[in-house]
Amino acid sequence: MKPDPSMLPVLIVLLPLVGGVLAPILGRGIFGWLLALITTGLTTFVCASQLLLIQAQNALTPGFSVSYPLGGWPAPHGIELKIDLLSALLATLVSGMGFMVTLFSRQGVDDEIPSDRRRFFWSLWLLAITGLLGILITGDAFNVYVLLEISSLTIYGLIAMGRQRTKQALTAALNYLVLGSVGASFILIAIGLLYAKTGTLNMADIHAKLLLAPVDATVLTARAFLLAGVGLKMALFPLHLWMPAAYSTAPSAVAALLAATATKVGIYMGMRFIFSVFAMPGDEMLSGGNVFIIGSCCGAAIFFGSLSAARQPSLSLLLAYSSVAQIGYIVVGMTVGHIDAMTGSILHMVFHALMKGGLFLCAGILIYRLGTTRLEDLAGLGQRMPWVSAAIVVGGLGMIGIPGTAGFVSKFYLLKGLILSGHPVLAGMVLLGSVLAAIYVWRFVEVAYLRPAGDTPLRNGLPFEKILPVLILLGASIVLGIQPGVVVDLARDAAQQLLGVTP
Amino acid sequence: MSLFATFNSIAFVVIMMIGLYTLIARQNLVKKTLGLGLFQTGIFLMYITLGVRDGGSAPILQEGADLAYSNPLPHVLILTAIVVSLSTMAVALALIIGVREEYGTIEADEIATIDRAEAEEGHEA
Amino acid sequence: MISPLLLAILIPAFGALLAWLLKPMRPLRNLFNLVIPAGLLAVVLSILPEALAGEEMTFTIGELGSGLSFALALTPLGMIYALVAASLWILNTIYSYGYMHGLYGKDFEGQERYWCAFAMAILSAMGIAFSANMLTLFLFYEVMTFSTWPLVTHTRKPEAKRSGRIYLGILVGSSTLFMLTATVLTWVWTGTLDFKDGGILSGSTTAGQAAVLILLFFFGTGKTAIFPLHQWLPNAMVAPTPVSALLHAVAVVKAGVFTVLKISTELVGTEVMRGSWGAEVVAWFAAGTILLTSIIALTRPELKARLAYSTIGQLNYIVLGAAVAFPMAIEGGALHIAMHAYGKITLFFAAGAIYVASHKTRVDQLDGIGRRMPWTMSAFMIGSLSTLGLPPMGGTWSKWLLCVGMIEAHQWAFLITLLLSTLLGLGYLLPIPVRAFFAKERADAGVKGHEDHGESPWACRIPLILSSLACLILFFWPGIYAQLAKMIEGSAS
Repeated sequence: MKPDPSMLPVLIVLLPLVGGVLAPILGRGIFGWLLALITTGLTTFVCASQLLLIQAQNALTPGFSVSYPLGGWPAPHGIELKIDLLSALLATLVSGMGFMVTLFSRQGVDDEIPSDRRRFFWSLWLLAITGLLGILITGDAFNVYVLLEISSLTIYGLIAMGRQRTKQALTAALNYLVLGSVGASFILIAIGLLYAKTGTLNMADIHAKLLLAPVDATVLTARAFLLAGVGLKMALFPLHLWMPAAYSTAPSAVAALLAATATKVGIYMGMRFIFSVFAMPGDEMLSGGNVFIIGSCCGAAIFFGSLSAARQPSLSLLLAYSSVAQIGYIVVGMTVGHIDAMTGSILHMVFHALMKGGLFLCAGILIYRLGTTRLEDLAGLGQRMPWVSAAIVVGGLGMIGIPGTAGFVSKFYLLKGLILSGHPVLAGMVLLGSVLAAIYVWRFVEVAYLRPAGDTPLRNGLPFEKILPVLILLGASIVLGIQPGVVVDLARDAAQQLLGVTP
Repeated sequence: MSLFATFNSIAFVVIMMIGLYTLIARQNLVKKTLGLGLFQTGIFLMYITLGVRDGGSAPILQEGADLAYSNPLPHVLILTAIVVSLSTMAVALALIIGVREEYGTIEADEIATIDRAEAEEGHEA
Repeated sequence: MISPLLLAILIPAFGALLAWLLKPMRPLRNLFNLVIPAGLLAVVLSILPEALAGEEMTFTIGELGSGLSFALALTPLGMIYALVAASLWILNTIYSYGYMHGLYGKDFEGQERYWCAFAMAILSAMGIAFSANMLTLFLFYEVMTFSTWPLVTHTRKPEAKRSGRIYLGILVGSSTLFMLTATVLTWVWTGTLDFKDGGILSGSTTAGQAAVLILLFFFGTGKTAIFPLHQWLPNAMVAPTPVSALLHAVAVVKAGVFTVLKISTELVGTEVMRGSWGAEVVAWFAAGTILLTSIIALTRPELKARLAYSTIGQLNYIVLGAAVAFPMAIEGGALHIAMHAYGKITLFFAAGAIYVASHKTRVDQLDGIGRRMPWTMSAFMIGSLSTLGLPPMGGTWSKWLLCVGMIEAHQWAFLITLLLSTLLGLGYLLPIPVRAFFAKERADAGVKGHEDHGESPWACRIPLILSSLACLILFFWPGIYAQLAKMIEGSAS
């Protein structure tokens, strides 16, 4: 039988799902890692092919998206997989980061997870990726909830596996579970209200029906619940409280995966619901009051996240709080609903995933070799591990948004969008955030380069598979800082599709 | 809106609020988890209420009879949500067992005290 | 064939890489440390004819979408800066060997970092010099800030760390908050960031917008050390002297004044500058900085601090020229980049040479030192005269042109400022070499353990002799620099 290329979309969730189910059976010894590596690799390949296909088609017919009816039931009654440029871009990002982190984490997992649990680790790992990818490509609102819970539940388990290193992983996981479940429940309520209003669960269909009816209390309540729930999932200040503990106590591989992908998927949900479900023509996507509220949250996220990052005792916590601030950047761009700001926002999702993923991988190397990321123990790191600390500095420069790193490109578009849409205060916050980022990054730099080398013994060598993904990710952040044209075009097209703007 | 729906609407809001309060106010982790469960149960009730129709019968298609049916879709959805809620509860309880093993307590404030004490110790060391 | 513009950036990059990779092979690395600056100078000289002929040469490094790019282009102003940086890099490298080996021994700590950061700073200087648009300039401006931080904090002592923080705080803070804002605003308002003779603002922005941009750009360029952003420079004096020489004469501060000249002539446009109240404000700030720092310099007993404040004043001559934006003032400012560089690097070389030989740091210790270090102090004399703009030194020409520019603009107050600061300069700079030769050595002046000293090592002496000779030669034969500056004047009028 000849394979049908239109079947490809479903493979994006099917591959990691099958891998996740097989992992407990086959995944003993090194096979769990191999299975995860092959699965994520294949998924990346499929996602990338979809991305290229959609980009090519979009150039011909703007607004093009791939639709796949599950089980042959057509939308809006059946469940539909719907992949537009944004979905495809982020799916490629998520699966690609999954592949990179998997490549990275063989020894780390051996180090941090007891041998009898490793196959379950890989199972949860693949299921988490399944859930994240599923959210990105589904066109059905309830499906979003279910897939969200699949990814969340597995992630709670993955975080808790950090108990081998620190028992706080358990409390962090539990804390995340409670808050995450509340957030997911809020989303469930919002979906329920939308269903009550429109009688359908297909997102495009909901949107079409909402356009016909006047905006009433049900819709507004649904939107409020949705924003609160999504805010929890994307860790937008002040709903970020679960995140630093979870990132800093989880196994290093999990922290890298979460930082690179999980919050991005949260933000994707926000974008998708706001712009593809709730958006009203003529409405500025979000009305002024909402922009004020969310914008204030973002400003506070940038300000307090950066300041807190500068006061943390360990590199992992520093990076986690930096993520709080960077999420502020991303959300602020989507809030104002301007094409340039949205482009910046999407770019920053991609670039931040690369850079922060790379940084957390560096933190993983530190845990693997030093057993700690406490800043005190990192004194003189520049001499002891020149490559790793140079990589951290490069990533840190990207966090600041120094020109020549990818972080600058996204910030530049973000600034333009914020100014053009008439939000100079928010633009000022973004600029201030860069200066504050310099403070926390330089805290590490001073420790690593100006203090005499510490005497904590190195436990392990530096395996090639560990440094390779770091070099690829942070190298990409430099290359994309100088030659980002391709990604910028993609992000711009995705933003146009999302906002329904014709070029 | 029928009396049933009105009553249910009030009931699920009350249940959700009780759950949310328990979740926030209790220090005992198991009670927190129960609060979460209660909160989600409230949502289930909301979904079930959505599907109800005045005088509607069970949605079993009957030949020839012109009956009003209740909407079965929310009920099906909520089956899924119940499964999710159950799994969440299971994961939470498993985590609490782990917490008990490591800390010897399941009171959130005591755990925080232990963590803080250890952080200070680590700082001095 | 690789574009020479790209080559000018790749060569220092290669140098930075080698400094790191050749760690185990020091002799080879030392050889490359000399070969690579020579190679860079050769490349820069090779495109000099094109620059003099006014030929166009561009190279695109990367595209950012929406018409933005990182790109390089050849301009007369850029040529002046590149030539200064490339020629002084060689001298500074030789001098670094004399200074660092003389003070810390042949295996001084962190030498890989030192050479690597040095090469990166030159790389960014080349990038700034040849930048074709504001975005590229901003890119290399920031690269320079970060790559010189390891040099400022080289000793890794607490005061070095503190200075490093001030250094980064002021430079990154001002450039991020103001220069980046101005860049984005320019892009939003004009739709382009490419440098163009005559500027890109005229016609597309209102007078108010132009004034805002001018203020943001000039106060965003912290490297010009304009008041109130000048604190980083005296603080950066904790660095080893070759680094001070690099910072104060070659790379960093010149990057700042180059940037404001570039913005004045090719981004805002002299026409707009001349008519804007924003430029007026900047000019007054620059004039104030000149007087203020000249007075502070009088009160500083440490030689390096005195030189630092003198530098701030001299830089603001150029800022003043850029803000006044009359053709002669621009030409004088551009020429002053070169003239001040050779004069001031001589002074810093001399200060470092004195320190290596005698460990003396304060001005009052230097009475009579001229008899022990005749070469060094003669060079110091020449450097002082050139810095003050007195004949027969190169500095005369640039100062002359700046004064003419002020007259041309009918800015009498600024003219008086320039003359007054020269007088003050006579007061704080000239007594040092004069007393070194003619006053009697004080009995208590020597530093313990270094009382009896002679000249500094030859590797310190040769560069400072060469740079002082350059000051002399540039008076009689200002040649290419004058020619290039003339070209800028031509396009500015």
